[in-house]
Amino acid sequence: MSRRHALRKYKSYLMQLLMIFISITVVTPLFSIFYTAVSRGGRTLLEAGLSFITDLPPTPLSTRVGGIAPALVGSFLATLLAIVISVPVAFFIAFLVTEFPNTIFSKSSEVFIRSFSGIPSIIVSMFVYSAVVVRMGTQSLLAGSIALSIVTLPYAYVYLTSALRSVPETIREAAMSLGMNRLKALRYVYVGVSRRYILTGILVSYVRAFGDTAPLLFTIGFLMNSVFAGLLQPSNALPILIFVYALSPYEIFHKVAWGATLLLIIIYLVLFLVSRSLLRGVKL
Amino acid sequence: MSAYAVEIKNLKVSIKGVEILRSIDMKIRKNTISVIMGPSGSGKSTLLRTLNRLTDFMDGIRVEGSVFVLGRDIFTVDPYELRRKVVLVSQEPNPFPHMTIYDNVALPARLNGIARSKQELNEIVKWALEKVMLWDEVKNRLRDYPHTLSGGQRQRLCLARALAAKPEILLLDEPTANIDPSNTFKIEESLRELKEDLTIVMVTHMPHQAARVADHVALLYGGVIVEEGPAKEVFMNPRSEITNNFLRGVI
Repeated sequence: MSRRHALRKYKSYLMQLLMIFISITVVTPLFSIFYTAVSRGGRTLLEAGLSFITDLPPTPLSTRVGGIAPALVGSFLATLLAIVISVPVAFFIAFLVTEFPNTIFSKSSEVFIRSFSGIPSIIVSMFVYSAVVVRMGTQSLLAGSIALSIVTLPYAYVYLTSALRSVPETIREAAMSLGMNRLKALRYVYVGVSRRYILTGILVSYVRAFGDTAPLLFTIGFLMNSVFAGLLQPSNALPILIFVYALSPYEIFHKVAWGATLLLIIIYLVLFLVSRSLLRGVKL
Repeated sequence: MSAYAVEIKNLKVSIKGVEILRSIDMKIRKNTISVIMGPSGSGKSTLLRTLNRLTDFMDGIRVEGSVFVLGRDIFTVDPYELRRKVVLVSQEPNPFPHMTIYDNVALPARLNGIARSKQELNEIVKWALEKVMLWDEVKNRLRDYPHTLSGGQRQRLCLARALAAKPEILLLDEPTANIDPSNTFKIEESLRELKEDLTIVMVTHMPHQAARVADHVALLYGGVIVEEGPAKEVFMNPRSEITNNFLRGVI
C-alpha cells in the first residue's frame, strides 16, 4: 500500500469520525427532549390511565392527576374549524393563481400570502383578540379557530397551489379539449388527479395548527370545568394547557403538563407520519 | 350549407413575437380525412390547436385572419362550445389517471348531456370503445384504471373518450407517434370508418401514414402551406420541390 493511499484512508476515517460526532451533537438534544417527555409524561399517563383523556383537569391541591379532556377536545375542534375556514379560502386563491397566473390578483395574492407566513403568530393572536374577542366580550373557540386559520392559510395555500400545479399539462389539455370550462376541469379532473396532494396539504396544515400555541394565547380562553362550552364560549387547547400548567407552582399541574406534552408529541407524530406516507403515495 | 367543415383564410399565428404560421389558406371538406404533414417545428400542432382555440391557453399568442368551423367564425363563438364540437386527441396518451376506463369514456358523454340515462351511457361507452377496437380487450375490466393498459390501448382509450363527446370534427395530433404498429393499424382502421360520421383533421410527420389514411393532404413547411390537394395527386405527382424532398425523407 502506497503512502498516498494510506493518507487517503486515514483522512476518510477522520471524516467518518467527524460525521459521527456531528450527528451525535445534533441528535442528543432532540433525544434528550424526547426522553424527558417520555419518561416524565409516561409516568403521568401510566398513573392516570385512560382517564387522562376523558377527565377534567385536577385542582391545585388534588391528589389525583385527573385528565386533559377540555384541552384535547378544544384542540381538535379549534384545529378542525380552522381548517374548515382556511382550506376553502386557500383552495379558491390557489385555483385562481394557478389558472390565471398573470392577473394582478394572482400576483398580489401570491406575494401577500407567502409573506403572511413570516408574520409572528403572536401578532395574529393579538389582532384576533382586538378584532373578535374584544367585540364578542369573551375568548372563545371561534376566536381561537379564526386565529389558527389565519396562521394556517399560507401553509394550506402553498400545498394546494403545488397540488394544482402538479396536474400534468397534457391532462389539462385533455380536459380543455373536451370542452370543459375551468371549473368543470377543476371539479372532474384536477381535484381527482391531485387528490392525494390535496389531502396531504390539508393534513399538514392540520398538524401545523394542532401544535401551535401563540395564536391561541389571547383568543381561545382556558376552559377547565367542562369539556365543551359552545362555539362562542371559552375553550382550551393542549399547547395552552402545557404553557399555563408548566408555569404554575403546583406539582400536580407539572405532572399534567408532562403527560399532555407526551400526548401532544404522540398525536403530532401520528399525524405527521400519516401525512408523510400520503405524500409518498402521490403518483402521477 | 357549406361542403366544408373548416375554412381558413389568411391565418397568421405568432407566439411571443415569433411567427409560427404565415398566411394559411385552407379548406377541409366534411367527412374526409385531411392530413397536415410537415417536419418538426413547421407549425402543424399550432395550426391544429387554433382550430378549437386551444391556443387561447398559450402565453403570448397572437392570432390574425379568420377561421370558420362548421360555418361559424371560431373567434366569435363560445370557445367551450366550440371544443365540444371540435375535439383534440394529443400525441401523448393522456387518459385521466384517477378515473376508471369506463369513467374516462363516460365523462364527456355525461358532461355534454349526450347520455340521459345509465343505459344510454353504457351504450355510448360500448359504442366508442368498439369504434376504436378496444371493446373486446377491456369489456371485462371496465372498472380498471388506465395505467393497467398498454400505451397503444391508452391512446385508443383517448380516442374513444373523444368520440364519446360526439364531436363533429376530430383533431388528431400525431396520434400514433408513440405506439406500436399493431395499435397504429387499429387506429387507422378506426379512422377510415369514423369519417362516415365526422370530419378528421390529422397532423403527422410520417408521409407513409398520410398516404395510408388521407383523402386530402397539405404540406406545412416553415409556417406556410407549400402544397395541398387530393392525397393521391400529391403523393404521385408532387408539384413542389419541398414536397418532393419531404416525401423522400430529405427534410
